[in-house]
This record gives sequence, structure tokens and C-alpha cells, in this order.
Amino acid sequence: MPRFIRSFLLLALIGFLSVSCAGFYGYNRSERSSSIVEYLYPDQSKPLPTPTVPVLRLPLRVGVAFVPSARNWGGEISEQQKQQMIQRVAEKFRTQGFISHIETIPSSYLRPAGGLANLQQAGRMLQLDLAVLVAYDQMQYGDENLLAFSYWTIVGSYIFKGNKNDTQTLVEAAVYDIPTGSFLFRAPGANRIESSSTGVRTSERQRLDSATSLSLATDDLISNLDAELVAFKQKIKEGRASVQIEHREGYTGGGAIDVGFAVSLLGLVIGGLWRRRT
Amino acid sequence: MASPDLSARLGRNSGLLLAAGLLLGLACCPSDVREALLLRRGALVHGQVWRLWTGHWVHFGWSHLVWDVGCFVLAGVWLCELGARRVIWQTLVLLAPLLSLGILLIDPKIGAYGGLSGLVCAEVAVLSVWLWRTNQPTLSVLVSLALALKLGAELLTGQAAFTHFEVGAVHSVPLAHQLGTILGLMWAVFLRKKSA
Repeated sequence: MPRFIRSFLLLALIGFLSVSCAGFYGYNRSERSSSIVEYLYPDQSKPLPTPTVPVLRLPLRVGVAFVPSARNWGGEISEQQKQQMIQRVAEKFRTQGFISHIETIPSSYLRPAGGLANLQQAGRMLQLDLAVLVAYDQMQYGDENLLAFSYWTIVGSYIFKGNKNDTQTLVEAAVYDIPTGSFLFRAPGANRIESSSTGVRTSERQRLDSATSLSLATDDLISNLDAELVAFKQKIKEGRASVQIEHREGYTGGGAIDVGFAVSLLGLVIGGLWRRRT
Repeated sequence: MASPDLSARLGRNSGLLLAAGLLLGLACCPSDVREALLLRRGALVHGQVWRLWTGHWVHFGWSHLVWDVGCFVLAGVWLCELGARRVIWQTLVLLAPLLSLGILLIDPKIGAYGGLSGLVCAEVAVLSVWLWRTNQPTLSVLVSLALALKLGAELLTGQAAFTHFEVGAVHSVPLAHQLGTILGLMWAVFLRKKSA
């Protein structure tokens, strides 16, 4: 073989190995998200709506929706996962006495970057007072460690866990008054998962991590939502929330005695009867 | 064996205990029976006038029932001890329909109402006047103060909107307590003038 051909082949092999090495020992990143702000206020040049005090007519009709995403680089989460998330959020609201009706807003009713007008349109169709918008942001990083060198042997990519995966998820539920578009309160949920995988199982592992992290972040969201609901009701009781409460036409009312009054009456009765006896 | 004193007390309060028992029994009834007794504006228009009385006997959960009946019995026992047993029955028979009509007239948005607390407030208002009449001004002032604090807290904190009932979408009506107190005071003054 002529010398120049041998030199060319050697250089080609070095070049191939360098590229292969760089390819194996790299990192990848994917992001999928949906943003409440991008959905409600897509046009930044438009002025924000004038803040008004929302009037909440009890009992309330509430809709829960998953915010549609305008752009995704890592593929969106499945429709089934979205449904599971909003069902769990809806379940939390269902137990509240001041809510008469709760339903999930079908994803086909909301357009990406649809704005407040789109939300109000869906709200009118379903006769809703409040909307609970659920959004998420998930980042996945994939790095490789020294074991990734075993991938050169092909068999190594089936045996050694040379990939490190990091999944970070942030979910949030924000409650809006539909007629005025006023923000009422929000609750966040977060989770981070780290795992390792073999070269050929990386995609599968990342999909699994994505689903697990989303589920755990939703658990966190539900527990925070509980606390935020209590805090919101407390703010209304103390008159610190900028909302006006009214009753809906034909509501059902009940007379209720509170514990403080009952206990003070008991004390007075005991005192009165004891005094009478002595 | 019960002491003669206790037997006498139970005898004096037997009517009251019977009423409390009836209330507890009613809570165990099927929901359609309770629905037939609830004070409902639409049904009243169609001639179901018994609801003016029975609406106060319907409750929206065990905690709602227990607190209402507990206070009704406590105030009732004290009134019995003061020799004003008939006032309890007058409250249930005469003041109940007046209170029902008052609630429906003053709050046009209310569609249905249930609960004894309005009548409890009326009973406590009568009790405070009765204590004054029987030369127990300190206790009379304390009872009035407890009632005033309850009404004031409801007005100031807006508790009405978010009082939790076991049945969803049922809301506390402080108007019933205010109206019950006014009716109780008016009734006590009327009885006093009549006896004078």
C-alpha cells in the first residue's frame, strides 16, 4: 500500500475516533414547558388589563385547565399525564364548601397564546366563575461519566451505566377570576430526580424520570394548594383579600353556632346554675 | 338510682330533651324527608307552609346539628330553671315562622334555609332579659355580651361566606342570628309588658 494512502487512513481513523469520543462524552439538554404568562398575555406590546376588584358570587363554578404550550423543544408531556394532573387539582377544589361545581376545561377549548379573551370565551361556554390554570416547566440534562468510554466496544453501551440523568420539574396552579382576569392566588410544586442509565436505555430512563418527576411535583403542588386555599379563605375572612363576596341567586343557607359562642354559653349556664344553688 | 333532685330536674326539662331527641332523630332521616321539611322559597309559594316551622329543624351535617342543639338545650335548661319553660315553646311555635318569613323577605337571594341557630339566638336574647328580670344583672350582661360578640364577629370578619358545612355549597346566614336576636328581645319585652 502506498505510503500516502496509509497516512490518509491513519488520519481518517484518528479523526473518526476523536469525533466518536466527543459524541460519547457529551451532554444533552431538553426542555418542555407551558407558561401561564405566555398564554394569558402573549402580546407584550398590549397594555395589561386595568386591575378591578372581582366579585365572587358563592357558591362558585370552577374550571381547571392545562395551559397549552406555544413552543416545546423536548416534546410535550402526554395528554394522559395532563389529565391526571388536572384531575388531582380538581379533586382538591371539589372538597371546598364554597364551590358548587367543578369541571375540567377540555384542552381543545384553549389555544396556545390565546390570551384572556380565549379564557373568557371558554368560561362563558361552560358558565364558569373561576379558572385554575395548571402549567409546568421541565428540564432534563444528560451527562456522561467515565464508564461511557466502554460504549466504544458497543457491548459496553448495553452493560455499563455511563449516562447520568438529571430531571427538574416545576409545576404551578394559578387561580383567576374569569370575568375580570384578576389573579387570586397560586401554589407551586417542585421536584428533582437524578438517575443513571446505560447508553441504549437513556431515552427510556429519561421518559420514566420525566413522568415520575411530574407526578412527585404534582404531589408537592397539591400539598401547597391546600395551604394556599386555607390562607386565601383566611385573607377573605380578615378582609385582606381584594375580592368582594356575594351570594348567588337561590343559594342555600344555614344558621350555624360557632364553638366560641357555645363554650361561653356553657360556662355562663354552669356559673348561673351553680350561683342559683348556693 | 337517680336522686329525687335529679329526677325532678329531668322532669322539668323533659320537653326540652324530647325536642333535642326529635332533632337528633330528624338528622338520621333519609335526605328526601329532610328536603320536604327544609325552608324553601319555591315550595312555600306552592302552599307548603309547614316549612316555616320545620326549616329550623333541618341541619346540614352532624357538627352543624350538635352545636345548634347543644346551645338550644343549654339556654333552654337555664330558662326552665328560671321558671320560663313556656318561652321555649313560644320560641318554637310563634317566633319560628316569623323568623323564616323575615329571612326570606330581607334576603331575596336565599333559596333555601335550614338550622336552629336563629331560634337559639332568640332564646338567648329572651334569657338575657329574663335574667335581668330575676335580679341577676351581672349574668344578664354577660349573656348579652356573648351574643353581641358573636353577632359582631360575624359582621366584621365576613365569616358567613366561608363557614364550612359538611354539605358543600351551604353558607352561613348571619341575618338569621341578627333577626333571631331582635325577635327574641321584642318577645321578651312583650311578655314583660303583658305580665306588668
